[in-house]
Amino acid sequence: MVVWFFIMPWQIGGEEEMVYPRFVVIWIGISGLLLVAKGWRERAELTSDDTQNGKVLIQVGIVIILLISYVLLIQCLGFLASSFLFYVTTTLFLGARNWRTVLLAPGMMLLCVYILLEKILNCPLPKGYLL
Amino acid sequence: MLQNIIAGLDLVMQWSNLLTVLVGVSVGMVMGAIPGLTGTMAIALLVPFSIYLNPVAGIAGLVGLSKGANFGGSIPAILFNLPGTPQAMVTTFDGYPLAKQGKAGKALRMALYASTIGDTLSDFVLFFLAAPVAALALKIGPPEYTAIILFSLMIIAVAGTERVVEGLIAVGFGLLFAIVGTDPVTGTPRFTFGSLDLSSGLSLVPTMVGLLIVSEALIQIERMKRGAERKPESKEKENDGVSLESRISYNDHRVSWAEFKQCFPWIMSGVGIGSAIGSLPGIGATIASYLSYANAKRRSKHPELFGKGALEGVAAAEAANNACQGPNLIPLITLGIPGNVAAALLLGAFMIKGLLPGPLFMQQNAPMLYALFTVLILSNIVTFLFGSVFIRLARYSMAVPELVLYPGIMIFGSIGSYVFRNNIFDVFAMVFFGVFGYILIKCKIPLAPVIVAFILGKMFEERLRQALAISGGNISIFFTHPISLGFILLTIVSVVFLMKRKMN
Repeated sequence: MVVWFFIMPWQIGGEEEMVYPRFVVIWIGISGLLLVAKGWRERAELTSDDTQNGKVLIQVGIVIILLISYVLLIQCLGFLASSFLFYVTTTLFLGARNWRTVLLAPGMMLLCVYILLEKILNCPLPKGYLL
Repeated sequence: MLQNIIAGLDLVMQWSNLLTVLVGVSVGMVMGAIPGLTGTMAIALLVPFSIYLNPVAGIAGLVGLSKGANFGGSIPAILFNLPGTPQAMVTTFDGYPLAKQGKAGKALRMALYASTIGDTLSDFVLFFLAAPVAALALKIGPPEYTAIILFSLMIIAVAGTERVVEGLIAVGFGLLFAIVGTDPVTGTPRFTFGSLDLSSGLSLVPTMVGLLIVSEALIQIERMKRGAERKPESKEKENDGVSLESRISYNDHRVSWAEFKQCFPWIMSGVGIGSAIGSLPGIGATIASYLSYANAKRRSKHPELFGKGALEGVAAAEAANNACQGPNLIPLITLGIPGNVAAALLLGAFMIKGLLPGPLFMQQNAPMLYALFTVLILSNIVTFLFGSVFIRLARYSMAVPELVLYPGIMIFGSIGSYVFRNNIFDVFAMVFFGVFGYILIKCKIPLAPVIVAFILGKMFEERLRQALAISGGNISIFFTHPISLGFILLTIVSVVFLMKRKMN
């Protein structure tokens, strides 16, 4: 409904251009209605196992936030520094406590990436204030 | 034809290409052997890097990767009862009981023999069928194309997934994302929200990497956080009292000639089943291996041994799932329509290289096509040789800690997304699709139809609009052309049949 009434008139020019996007939105709309009907029919089958564990979802949300911060940091710190930071932070967050796991694995991987891309494939990685 | 074959061989037989095949197979085998990483993920991760290689080397590396990962998936299935790839699930039925009896080496070798025989024979099916299908494809126009793409999309949505409605929604999302960019007829921008980065459409690589890699990494992280970490060795010791060492180093690790002869008929029937299933879009290797296994069990002289460690069970399953690989490429090469996600990724790689598979591909790029056939056979030989060595080292690939694995592949995915166009916007797109894919998985909406529909979306729209332009906007054009009408009827019959079967 949002795509049909708001986004399509705003983002698509003429009537001819609207035909195919409308077809796709109708496809999604009908499938969505079928899904709602199916969900309504199956609602009684839901058990406590189907309900999401809120704490775990928050933890996944934190990893997503770390990932977004990492991409934002690439432009400031550079690819290698921000990747190292993201790798170490995420590994620690996931529960690693062994310094070899936390520091050596990211270090080795990023060194290999640097040699492969910058030296062998001549592909420049994004640079920033650090690396 | 002979001239083209020689030209194709000439394209392939260079040290750099052979090295790429070797690297592709070995990386694929390692990635396939790690549960949680599949061959499809391996291709998605490495497609962007193929732009730095020549077209033959790039395609050769990806084909090798796919073949290596396919065999690699059977290794944890046999050693730990953990299928490395979805299609290796059936291999666990007899592979793991054999491992518990101390015959892991025997099961792994049989899996290797059945995989490479199945794969090689199926490549010949592709070799012999591609030309006649392409000749037929030359006679079809926009209405027929539209009907064939619609057929593929519907089959992928219905047959390729457990849940039909969710499959249809997934196809809808794929088609919607394919709209972003510019209108193919009028050239006006659509869904670009004023962004220059979106004016040429959503880029293929970040979309694939996000949906396949990042979403899967998030799902695996969620699983880890739920406390179900993968500790196969310790679990097995608790459950069976059989250590990994004793399974691997047991004396009975070779496949005797008598055992091979006993398994050979099931390998051949697996090749037949796998080739037939593989040529249909969307059905997939998992179903082929189930059917082949069920056929071998039904017709075996010792059906009671199946599920308890029958070598024939491993052979039948592995031959069928690998025999899907060659025929899966028939619709891709002849029509430009991928039959599954791996073929869709290969199509992406072809497009990156400026090659467009389709009816004219055989005429315009015949040497390239024969180079592809050569690469397919060469990859099987390398898989066989490297696999014989890798069997002994396979257990080490399981030692990669999950704590470093998933952050690592997310970083690798970011690099892949960035290097494709040297554009940081693509890394943001990857994150968006990663989160979107994670939400879809949580809603039990499959990702494979999203990817295939995204790749086919532009072609579908172009053909649909061309057909409507020819008929002056009259949709009866799809019902007056016999091939088009045939595919529309086939779509309806297949969808109704498959939905009925699923409901039962």
